[in-house]
Amino acid sequence: MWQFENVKSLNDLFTTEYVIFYLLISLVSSGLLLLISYKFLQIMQQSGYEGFGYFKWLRRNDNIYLTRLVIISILSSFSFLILNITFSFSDSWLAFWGSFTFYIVFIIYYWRSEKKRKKKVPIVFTSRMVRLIVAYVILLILINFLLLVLLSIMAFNLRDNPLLIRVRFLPICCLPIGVPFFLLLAYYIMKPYERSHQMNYIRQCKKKLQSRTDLIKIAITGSYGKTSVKNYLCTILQEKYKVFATPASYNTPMGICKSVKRLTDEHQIFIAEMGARRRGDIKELAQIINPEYAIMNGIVGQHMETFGSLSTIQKTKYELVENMSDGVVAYTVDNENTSMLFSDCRLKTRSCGINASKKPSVFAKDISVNSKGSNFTLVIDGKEIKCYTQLLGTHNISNICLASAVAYELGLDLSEISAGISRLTPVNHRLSIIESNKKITVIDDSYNSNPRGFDAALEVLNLFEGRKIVVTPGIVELGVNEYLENYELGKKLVGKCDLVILVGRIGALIIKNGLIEGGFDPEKIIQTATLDQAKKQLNELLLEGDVVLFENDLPDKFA
Amino acid sequence: MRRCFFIKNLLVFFGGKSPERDISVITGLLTLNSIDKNLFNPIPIYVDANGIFFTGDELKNIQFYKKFDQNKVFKVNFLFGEKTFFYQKRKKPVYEKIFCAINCMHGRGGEDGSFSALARLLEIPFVGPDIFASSVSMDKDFTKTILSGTGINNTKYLRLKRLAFFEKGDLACAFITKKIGYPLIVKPARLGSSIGITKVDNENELFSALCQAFNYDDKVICEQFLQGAVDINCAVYSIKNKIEVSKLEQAMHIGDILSFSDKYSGGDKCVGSQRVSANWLDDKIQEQIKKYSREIYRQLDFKGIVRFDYLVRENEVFLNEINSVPGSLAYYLFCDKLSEFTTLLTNLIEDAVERKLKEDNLLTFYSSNVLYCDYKNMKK
Repeated sequence: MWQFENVKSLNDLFTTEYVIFYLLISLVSSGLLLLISYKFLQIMQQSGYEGFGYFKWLRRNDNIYLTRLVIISILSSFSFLILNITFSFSDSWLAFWGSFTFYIVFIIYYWRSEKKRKKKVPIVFTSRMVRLIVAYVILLILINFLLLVLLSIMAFNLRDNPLLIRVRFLPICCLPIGVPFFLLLAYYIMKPYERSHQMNYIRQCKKKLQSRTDLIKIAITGSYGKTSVKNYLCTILQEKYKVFATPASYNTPMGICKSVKRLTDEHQIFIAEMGARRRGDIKELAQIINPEYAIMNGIVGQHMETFGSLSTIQKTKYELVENMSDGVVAYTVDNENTSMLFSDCRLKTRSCGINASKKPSVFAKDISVNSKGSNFTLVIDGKEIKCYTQLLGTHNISNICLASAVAYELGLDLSEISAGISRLTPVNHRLSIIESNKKITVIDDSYNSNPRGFDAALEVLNLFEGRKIVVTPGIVELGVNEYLENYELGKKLVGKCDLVILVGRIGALIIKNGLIEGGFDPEKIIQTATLDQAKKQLNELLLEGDVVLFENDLPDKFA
Repeated sequence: MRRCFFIKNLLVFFGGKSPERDISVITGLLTLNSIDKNLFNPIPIYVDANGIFFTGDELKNIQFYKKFDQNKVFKVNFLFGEKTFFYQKRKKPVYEKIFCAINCMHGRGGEDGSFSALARLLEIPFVGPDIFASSVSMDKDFTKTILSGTGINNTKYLRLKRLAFFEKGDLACAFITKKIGYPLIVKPARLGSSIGITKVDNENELFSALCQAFNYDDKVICEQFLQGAVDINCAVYSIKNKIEVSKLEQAMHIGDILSFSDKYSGGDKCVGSQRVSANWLDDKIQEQIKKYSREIYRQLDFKGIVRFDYLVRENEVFLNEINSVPGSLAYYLFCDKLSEFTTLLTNLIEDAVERKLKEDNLLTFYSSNVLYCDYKNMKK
């Protein structure tokens, strides 16, 4: 069959026998290619199904995954050629198809070694991911089939050369290189369907929210502190109302619409946090929700790779105010980028914060913070009340002011607000304190992803007594500023802690530079490749009374 | 090997909505395993964080609670007045009779009289205090009020309600500072196991301590802190109206107050593993403590095993709190071996059953013809 003895014309290549055969081979080959696609699917999901982020990851210079695929292709091709030439004397089908053995072996070996490696955030098989995988597999089968057909036709045209006929299926071994691009193609093919699917979802959500004319809707945005402020506001309002808040970090249109499904008639207030990656994101969310109250927390240069510039970020966040028909906006005076946006606003505003010089209308004074909690006096419209919270860090008091402003606007009096504040608990992984029974305090700030949060964490660390250890991979996703910020981070750590464990390769080296040039003792710097290794090292050197700060965490994208 | 012809189902209730649920699981499982299986059939009834009652063999295994799976246990319901409970097994209801029940639930929802009320409405005998005694001992404020007439020493204290506190925080703090002074101790009124309790040394710490306590209850008490006092525990039970008082033990603690981690700092026993004998106390003091315990038990008409916690300073004895469902049912204060606990439980159960029988026989029903009169207002 493979020697073309019986093939007299092109039509003979397309008998049922051949076609079924090629289909089977395509299925096997697609299966193999799917096995090595896990990482790419994961990255696709983690970039939020955005071709842009995925492509950027692909293009990185040190992307080992692409290199690995190239190696597999080269080795498979090589072994294919060698086996074919060695066994070219034999006419049996085993000798022909057996040359693919190493191709199969390499792929399975690669798949098994990838499987063994622990993943911090594995793929979540949402219906969208499943649809993508199905489309991807169909695409692979198609590509394989077409390739086989094409190669057969080419070989037919060159059938005078027996060697060429023998090795005509070599390009199949090179398919692994194409895997990331095939996935990208499948993604683009599915995009229109997903978009219309999403639009439908959003339309339903909008309808539900509009039908609830009695529902009070509150939206929260800013570069940081959105989830914290949302949680604090929710707890305080629960002194008087039945509140529904979108779950942790569900701040995209799809996430919010999904959570709205759980909104019941009993709920009187709806709180949503709004995240943005590019211009127009907030506008879209504001038009879905149409809130009556808004909170704008501080703005910093985060996600610069998608935004481009600080002023773009500012304009994007301000889209919330622009798309509110009426209502009240509470904004923080503790951040210059935010407060400058509200010098002249058509809506009623409440300035909030701890910076007395800006004379905010909701203000916290007489702040005293220690490792057990924070005491302060809240001042609204001239009225004062004493408050206590177990939350640490002055940035949290700034967040509390924002939440209190909206609670006040919604009719809670100061005593109810103070009662709510006393019940606030920290958000998981955001400066949450875990006291292990070995008398070691762990400050878990692993969800933090910006330099300001880092400052706040160091401030909190300072409140504790004992040997201080900081574990961090550095800050990622800062775009152009990545180098500078991580360097500054290193310098800030000097004098604030006794031991530093740096995780990973990207930020770690830069921080190390900052540390050493700031005068930190190089002996007190430990470097590990992964978080697990860092934890192991930590277990060996921890003593009673130590305080450990886990700062920033690495999403798998940057591992 | 059963001596009687019907199975004596003994329900052990544990768990509950309170923060002490996990400790209650330990008490419950200990009791479950100590019941004499030749005489009774012990059945676990676990109440989860939402107040749902479950039964099932999986509940006998402590590992099960680490990953609670609702599908492996059965939701329980009761037939009131008929001494019966039932659950759905493979879509068919299974009805079982209740012979007796034991209360191992700590905290509100179990120790505060809720369990006793449930048992009474089910018309079943139960081991544990009755409604009034339970509610009085759960609420530290009520305990102090009731016992102020007994002559037992009481520390100076004040009670505070939540909303009133948040409305007039400064005034409240000033008042407390003036009336009680420092050091003082802040406690949620209806919580056990030292949760939410803070010692306050000066006025700056008072506000935050009160805020923390109000996270657990909307009534809080502030009382004078007895510097240098030791914690002494004493337990009491009664069989056939004869009161038995246990030996005295001292609870050791690191720091100024007996904290949650002192009480449950891990280890095998997991119940106050830092306990020592209190024999070093003056004989007169020991006698006084035992006398107080006996008196309070009698006056409040307690049933079952109750543990009294005292604070002893120099030669003065103060009552700290009453635990109507003590951790591990305070078996360690009476028994040296768990086999003795089995015997104790058997006696308590038989005593409870006997009491219920007498009650049922003694109460006569008063019939009236209130419904048969002609009521002008009720006619159309």
